[in-house]
Amino acid sequence: MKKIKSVGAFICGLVFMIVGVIMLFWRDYGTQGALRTLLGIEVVLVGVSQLLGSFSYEAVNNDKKHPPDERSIDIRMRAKAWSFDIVTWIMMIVPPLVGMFDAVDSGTHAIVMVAVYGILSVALLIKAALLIFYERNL
Amino acid sequence: MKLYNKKGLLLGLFWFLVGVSGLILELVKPGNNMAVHIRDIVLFSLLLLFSIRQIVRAFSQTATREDMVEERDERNRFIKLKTGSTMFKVAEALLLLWTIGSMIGYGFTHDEMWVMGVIVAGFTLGLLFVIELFVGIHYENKG
Repeated sequence: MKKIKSVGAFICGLVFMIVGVIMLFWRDYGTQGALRTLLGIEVVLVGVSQLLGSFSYEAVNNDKKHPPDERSIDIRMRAKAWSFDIVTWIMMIVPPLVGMFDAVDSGTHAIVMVAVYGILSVALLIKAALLIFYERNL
Repeated sequence: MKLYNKKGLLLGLFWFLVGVSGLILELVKPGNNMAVHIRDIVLFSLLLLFSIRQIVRAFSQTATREDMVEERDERNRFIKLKTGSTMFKVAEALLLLWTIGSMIGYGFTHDEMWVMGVIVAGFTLGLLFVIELFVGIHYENKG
């Protein structure tokens, strides 16, 4: 219990996870069923993030009461940068894997490819521009 | 031959495996579209060349030293972190806008394609938050 920094966030996370699991068990066939399953996974993800957040001082800290110090700023910056990099890698790998294992029909695969690589290309373009900006200004 | 950069070698081997398996798959099981087939062969060949370059660099002392100096430079590291963290915020805003836009689109058209948009953007957003928390907790505990 000592490790929990916010009981409210902990309970909230548990509730979200339970709701997500219920949605996952509430199965149906066809597109509606697949969408509901994906929505269930997303609700579980929100629950997991809340639950994890309740263990993190940085996630539940009230910045107005306790302004972040040098270490906090560094931790937050690292967490954001790493998170962005890891998600970029996952997004790069997912569409070819989905295609390789024939997990979805070609129409859906094409939509997922366009959506995922669309986000990625915009993100990488902005990243390149930011790198140039910071290299010149820092 | 002496190995100087283990991480570089592992990464190079990983990309080499991806490139080789992709090329084999393209040659053994080609799709119906010739243009896509040629594009994939070109892309996997480029990946293969890139991986070979990385593997060769792992065995070169000068190249490894160059990579290390580049990697350990304080300013470079700070710029990378700063760019990454700003990108996180930009991605967060863009994905949120996309999710809301897709929801509005679905409200007007009732087309399931918009739901797909909500799910892809929402899933990515969720992943971003969960991984951010994991990494945050890791660095908090690290001291």
